Amino acid sequence: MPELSQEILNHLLDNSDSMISIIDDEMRYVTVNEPFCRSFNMQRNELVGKCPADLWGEDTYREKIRNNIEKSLSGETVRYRAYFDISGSPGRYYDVTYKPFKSPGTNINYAIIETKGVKFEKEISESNTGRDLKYEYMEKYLPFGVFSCDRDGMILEANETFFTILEVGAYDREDLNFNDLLRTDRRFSDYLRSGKAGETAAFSKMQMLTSQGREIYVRISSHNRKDEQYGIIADGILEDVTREVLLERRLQQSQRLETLGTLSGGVAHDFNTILNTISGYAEMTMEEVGRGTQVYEYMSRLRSAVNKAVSIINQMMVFSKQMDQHMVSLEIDKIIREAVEFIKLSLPENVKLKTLYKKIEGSIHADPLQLFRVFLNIMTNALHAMEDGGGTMTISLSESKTDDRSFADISIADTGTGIDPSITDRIFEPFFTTKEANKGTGMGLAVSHGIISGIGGEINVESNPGEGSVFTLRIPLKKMDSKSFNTPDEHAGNIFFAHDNLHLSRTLSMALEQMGYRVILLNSMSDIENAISYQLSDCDTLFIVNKFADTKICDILERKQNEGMSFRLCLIKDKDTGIDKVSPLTKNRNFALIKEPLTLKDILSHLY
Amino acid sequence: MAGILLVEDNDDLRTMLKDALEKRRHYIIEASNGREALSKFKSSATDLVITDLLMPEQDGIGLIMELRKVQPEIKIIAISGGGKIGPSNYLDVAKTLGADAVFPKPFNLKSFIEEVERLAVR
Repeated sequence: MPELSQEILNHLLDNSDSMISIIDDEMRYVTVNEPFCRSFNMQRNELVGKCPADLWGEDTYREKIRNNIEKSLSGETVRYRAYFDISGSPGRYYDVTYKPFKSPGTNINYAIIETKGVKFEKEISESNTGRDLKYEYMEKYLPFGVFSCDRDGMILEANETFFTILEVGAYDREDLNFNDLLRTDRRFSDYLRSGKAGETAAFSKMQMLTSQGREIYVRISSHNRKDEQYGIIADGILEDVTREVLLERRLQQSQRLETLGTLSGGVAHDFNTILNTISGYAEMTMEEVGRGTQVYEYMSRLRSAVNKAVSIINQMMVFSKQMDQHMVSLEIDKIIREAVEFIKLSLPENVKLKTLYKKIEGSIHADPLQLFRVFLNIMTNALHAMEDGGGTMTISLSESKTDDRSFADISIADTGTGIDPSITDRIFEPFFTTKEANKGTGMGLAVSHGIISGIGGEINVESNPGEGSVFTLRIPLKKMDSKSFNTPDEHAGNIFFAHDNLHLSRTLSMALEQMGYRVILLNSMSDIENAISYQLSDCDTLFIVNKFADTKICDILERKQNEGMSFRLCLIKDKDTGIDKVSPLTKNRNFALIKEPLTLKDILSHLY
Repeated sequence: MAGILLVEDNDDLRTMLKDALEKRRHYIIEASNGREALSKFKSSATDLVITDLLMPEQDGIGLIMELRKVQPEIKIIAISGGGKIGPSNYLDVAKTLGADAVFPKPFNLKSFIEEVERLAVR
């Protein structure tokens, strides 16, 4: 058992905020310190000689105190937390420590008891008021990193958010230096080195690397103050603005592409007209001079040059969404699988191919040939990127949902050379290429961008030089949504137009809408079924191509007519399938037959 | 020989087509926009109208609609360097509105003249 001199005891008693008492082996207080007296609101001489049971109550003494004192007097150190009521103040938890000791030169055992109220978070904030509490709260919960650092960038102090933003683990917080996390952007380091006391500075969109190596953008606002130890200290806040920066960049990129699209659409239109003049005169000259002459030969070369120009212009028109896509409803995974099968034929030995397809609900609306072209294009680029070093191409398909829409997500990843960050923003621009002359026109990704945005989709790229690139495509999935129908109001009439030729449908509907009709286009069996089952009361005239008018559809229509619903039914006939000649539908006075090819005139003659 | 109203705002192309058609002994009336075309159409004997679609003043689509009103039987060929109205291609719109033939620019002159002559025969 250790010996404690009176001197040490006095020191302990006088310099502690905790309640300290010393008990002898007869369970009596030998002495207590000032905080102890304050807690019981009694004088020291009133307390000395008392038994703990007198102060804490007989029950508490028996349950929580006696055993521990006995243990301690026999040589053990005892620590425990317990709830105590001290009369006159609210009960609370205390951490209690009993340590045994001996007084020098005697055989008497004592226990020194430290009793310290436990401060819980709630109590801490209750104990703080006003400004302190507000700042403590702000530092803890606002999404800002708060820090102090010295001129060399050494972090002296920081809040939790600061470390979270910079992805610094609990064990790496010592010796953390700002300069190690700043990328090429040295603005903040320079400010730290040269800043004067009282100076305030703000740095927007600073590029930093987290300690996990992730690239982020932050905004830092900081103020310099004088410090005795460090000379000057910068106190600052740091905010993660990565999301805003990336969004802004994407917006700028899409605006630039939109402008380029309008520009190239206009240029393409004019060039087609100019080329027409050139090729026309070439043709006339060829006819004039006749085959076998030198001039004929020259003119035919001129014409083939015109053809090359035409093919480039066509690509510009696809990019600028001026070229038609022959849209149909299709299952995206089929196109991807086809493109993958095709690319397999030219897969080099040093490239591995991985595919991860998840099931997709719903179909997309696109031109299958154009979409095939997009996938082939990106996959071919991926192979080019792995030409020298080999690698893996991973193609995946999955579905994602936002509140009210769902999308097919396709990613095409390679482990090739990657794309230099300085050009990532430009790769979708027309005529932009990194390939050698004659190896690519620089139209591939521009065309892909035009095709995907033409179907309401998005195409993006993420790339790390030396690690590879990931192209992600997001294409909206089509699901019949009854909310897309508007309630009819005063106008010429509502037309449901069910035809599989979307081109024709759209053109006619445009003309009809200009005349005041409201047209709802239906181009798949499921759309038709939904519309006639639930929305037929909104329909004045239903045009339906006979391939869509199968038994099921006819049955629903018949049922609706029998229910007394009145609508005009026009069957567009291309061949002898679909609606049965003897079907009661054809007997109704509201029935009409129209033959393909369909014109606006035909439609108008059958409208009320 | 047929009377042909040739509507095209690009002078070079219009001249080329005029040269080519005159060589085939057709009578050509020129116009550089829809409005001019319509007034010339009303004052001259025309068997066929060849019209560009994207033009200043009144465009080709409007012209076709007007022509169909004035003379429903008139033969019309639409030509276009591309472009769209909403989601649809100009030429498809022209065809749906009743153009008898459409040619995307640049077109093969020989097949164009063949079509002109097929339609313009009275």
